[in-house]
Amino acid sequence: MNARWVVAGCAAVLGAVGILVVAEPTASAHPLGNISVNQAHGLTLLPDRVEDLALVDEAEIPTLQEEGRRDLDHDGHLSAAELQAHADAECPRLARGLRLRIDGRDAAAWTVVRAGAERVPGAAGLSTTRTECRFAAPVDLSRPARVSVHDGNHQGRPGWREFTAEGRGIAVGTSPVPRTSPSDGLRTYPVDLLTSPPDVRDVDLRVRPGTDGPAPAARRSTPDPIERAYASAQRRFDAAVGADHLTVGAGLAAVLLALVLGGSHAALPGHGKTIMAMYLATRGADGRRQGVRDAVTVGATVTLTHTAGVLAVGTLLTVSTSLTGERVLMWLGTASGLLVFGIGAWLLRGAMGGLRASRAEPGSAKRHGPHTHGHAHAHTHAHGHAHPHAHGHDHGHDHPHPDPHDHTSLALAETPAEPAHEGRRRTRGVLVGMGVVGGLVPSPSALVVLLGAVALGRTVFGVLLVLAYGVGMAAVLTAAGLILVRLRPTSRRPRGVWWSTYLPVATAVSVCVVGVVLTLRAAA
Amino acid sequence: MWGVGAAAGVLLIAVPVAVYSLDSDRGSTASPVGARAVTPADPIAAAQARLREVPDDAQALAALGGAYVERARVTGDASLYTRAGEALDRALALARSGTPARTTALVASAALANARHDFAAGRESALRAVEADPYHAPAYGALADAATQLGDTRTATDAIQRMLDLRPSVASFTRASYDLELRGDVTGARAALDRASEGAFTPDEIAYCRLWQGELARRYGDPAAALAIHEAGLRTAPGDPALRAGRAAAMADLGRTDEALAEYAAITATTPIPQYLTRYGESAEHAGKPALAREQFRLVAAQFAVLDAGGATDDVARALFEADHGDPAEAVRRAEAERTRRHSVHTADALAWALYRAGRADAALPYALEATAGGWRDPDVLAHLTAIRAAVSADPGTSADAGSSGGRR
Repeated sequence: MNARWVVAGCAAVLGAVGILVVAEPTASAHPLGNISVNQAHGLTLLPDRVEDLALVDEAEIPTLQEEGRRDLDHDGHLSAAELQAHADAECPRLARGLRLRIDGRDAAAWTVVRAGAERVPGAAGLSTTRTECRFAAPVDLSRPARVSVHDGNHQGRPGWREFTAEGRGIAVGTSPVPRTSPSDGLRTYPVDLLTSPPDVRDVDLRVRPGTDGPAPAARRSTPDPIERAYASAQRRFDAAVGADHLTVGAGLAAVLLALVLGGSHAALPGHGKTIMAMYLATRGADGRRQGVRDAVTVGATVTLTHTAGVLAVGTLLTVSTSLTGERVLMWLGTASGLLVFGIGAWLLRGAMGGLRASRAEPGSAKRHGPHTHGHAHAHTHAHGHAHPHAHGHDHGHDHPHPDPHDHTSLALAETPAEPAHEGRRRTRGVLVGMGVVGGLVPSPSALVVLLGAVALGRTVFGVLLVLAYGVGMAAVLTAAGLILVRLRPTSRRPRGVWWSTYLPVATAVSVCVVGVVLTLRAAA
Repeated sequence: MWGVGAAAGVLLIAVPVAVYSLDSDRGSTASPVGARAVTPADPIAAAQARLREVPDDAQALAALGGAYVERARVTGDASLYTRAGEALDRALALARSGTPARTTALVASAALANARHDFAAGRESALRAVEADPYHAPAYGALADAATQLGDTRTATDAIQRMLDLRPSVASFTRASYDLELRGDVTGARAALDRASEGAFTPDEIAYCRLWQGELARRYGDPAAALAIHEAGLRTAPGDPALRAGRAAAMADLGRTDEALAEYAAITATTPIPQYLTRYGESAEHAGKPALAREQFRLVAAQFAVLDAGGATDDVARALFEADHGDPAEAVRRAEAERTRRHSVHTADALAWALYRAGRADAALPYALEATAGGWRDPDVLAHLTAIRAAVSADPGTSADAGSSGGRR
């Protein structure tokens, strides 16, 4: 009962407004706080074994906590023998907590090669403890392998946790961890506001026999003016959404800004619009340049997909605590890449069909193309016109100056053997696919805005903003495609059958390649 | 919102330019906000990502500083205060007056000062924030925290009321609860916490509400309810040290001593901060394990020694600790020092208890009465008053030896 009084008294005084009594590090105290336990693992990979230099730097309080257990003769200070006894006990324990797997299977246990410990003077006359262990485990890395290490030691303790990895006769390739210790083996802890102390508990390396080139220079990209402007606008946007008072004016401004942000997001690189523009341009090369309705289809799909995607991911992230944004974005990125590949394959199939047709009937396209096309119209199209040159109208755009060569290439590009409605459905499918690609991966900023609005209890406003964002994106993607189509002057279109025959194939192949690249990069 | 038009203008021009540079596959990772730093649950990573793009973004620096302070509160990792201080210094140097960034930076600076128990500086920064933006709810929160600890109850109550008006949220209702409790309205405090937990959305917020609901229940005599509440909180935030400490205290109150000690041992194995170590030691003492208790008190003393070495002060906690487990004379010295800095019910109680433990019950009584004059019914503070009164009436005229005859040990 006695105990309770002061306990609760302290709690009431110190805790009720969320203030903890925590000793703050100063020049003399441990840089990472006097309750921290800091760890480093330096992995070296060799063809026949993995070595690890395990370091533990215990700050003042953990050192004191363990002192009773380490001071074997209870004389109040640790002798060299007692320190060695501590290291001899601690290193095998650390080794047991360090799980090594090769290609997903547990490797042989670590052998402790060396164990040592020393006391380092800390703050207020207290000591810190530095423990050094060398481990080795026999493995066979004579062929490419996946090496995974998990450190389960000192869970829950605050502190710096780093991994480094280098190969000797083994190439570690693009390793997720550095080759040399950023803290000089837990001796100096760099304080960079832009990086939190590392908290690496798992390392996954894909290694192969060989040697790495020199360590890559640190990459530091300076944002260009557009990205700066974007970041600045984004910040204002966040501020508006999170403002204490949401006035009508500020709300409208936020919606407008969402449109602009969506548009500029789409305009910045990496948005699948390259493919989209390529596709629309290809259609222009084919001759069917009437892209407005198609472009609107794509735009609407982008808006719907993006909005739905952001809402779905937002819901997922809000409901689940185990999912991270990065993971979800990775899945969506992969899906998007696969979709691009699919579209490429689809285009390729159509293009190859056209190729076969033109080879089977050399020269016939020029004479019979319009006839073939007109024939299809007569059977399948509500808009069907008797006039063989008027097929453009069914795209809702009028081009009153049909050029015979355009028609020729069009006939080549479309599979003559295929009924026209089939081709139209495929075209529609490809367009919707393009739209899905453009909108599938929710842009991080839109996601953050939505979650922010939800957290502030402004869910509807958040949804509205995300919708506006999607519309902005769609507008720019559509405009990009249309601009490219318009920019290709009709009269300069090459006249050779060769060009118009192989271009669709080349385009389809490059779309496939882009799809593969996108997939690999998302999954990497 | 000023400058939005300008920014939009820049972007409208920038858009077509970017469209024509279709070369590019710098890829999705080059997206302006940095796709890698998306986890909305991590404000530190988000602010860092923004700062990598725009290094002199005062708003992001202010947000980063505030996030570090909050993270330090949750983890007990005090090294984050240094980082917070650096970020906020830069933010304040960059943010022009009148900008939202400046308000955010001032509020975060106030929170940092409060966390370092420099409440005068906290109040100063909070007042500047309130002046800069009278509609910024968090500014009133920081002001209320500082004013409460400085004993400026009127300012605290007004600030909390203003905060509630601006934004009824977990942050405002938990502060209202504490304010009501200090004025003796435990029922009101409980109701305010219930309101807070209704509005709790994130796991952090829910855990925070459960913590104070449980603490309130336990301190005002319902440890069974407290245990259930802390357990519920731990289902939302597994392993949260503050909730686990609450659970351990409730177990101790329920007589489940061994479980309580095991829980404290687990908490202090990862988060050995003075608060939990003191509770652990006192539970061990109560359970008749003086050696175990001494070990914990030694760790607390070491923590305070490091605090001293760093020039930081936390004299209320230090005085109460010294009064019960250390040197009562040192306790008096500490409590008096803190008393010169702030005249709050907390310093009154600490000074009263230190004086009593140092054998000066007569001198202690006025402070014990002052601590409870505003209605504060905290059972422990009342117990201090009761012990002091008993010592004074048992031996009017002299209060010698009150410490050793008092009921504390």
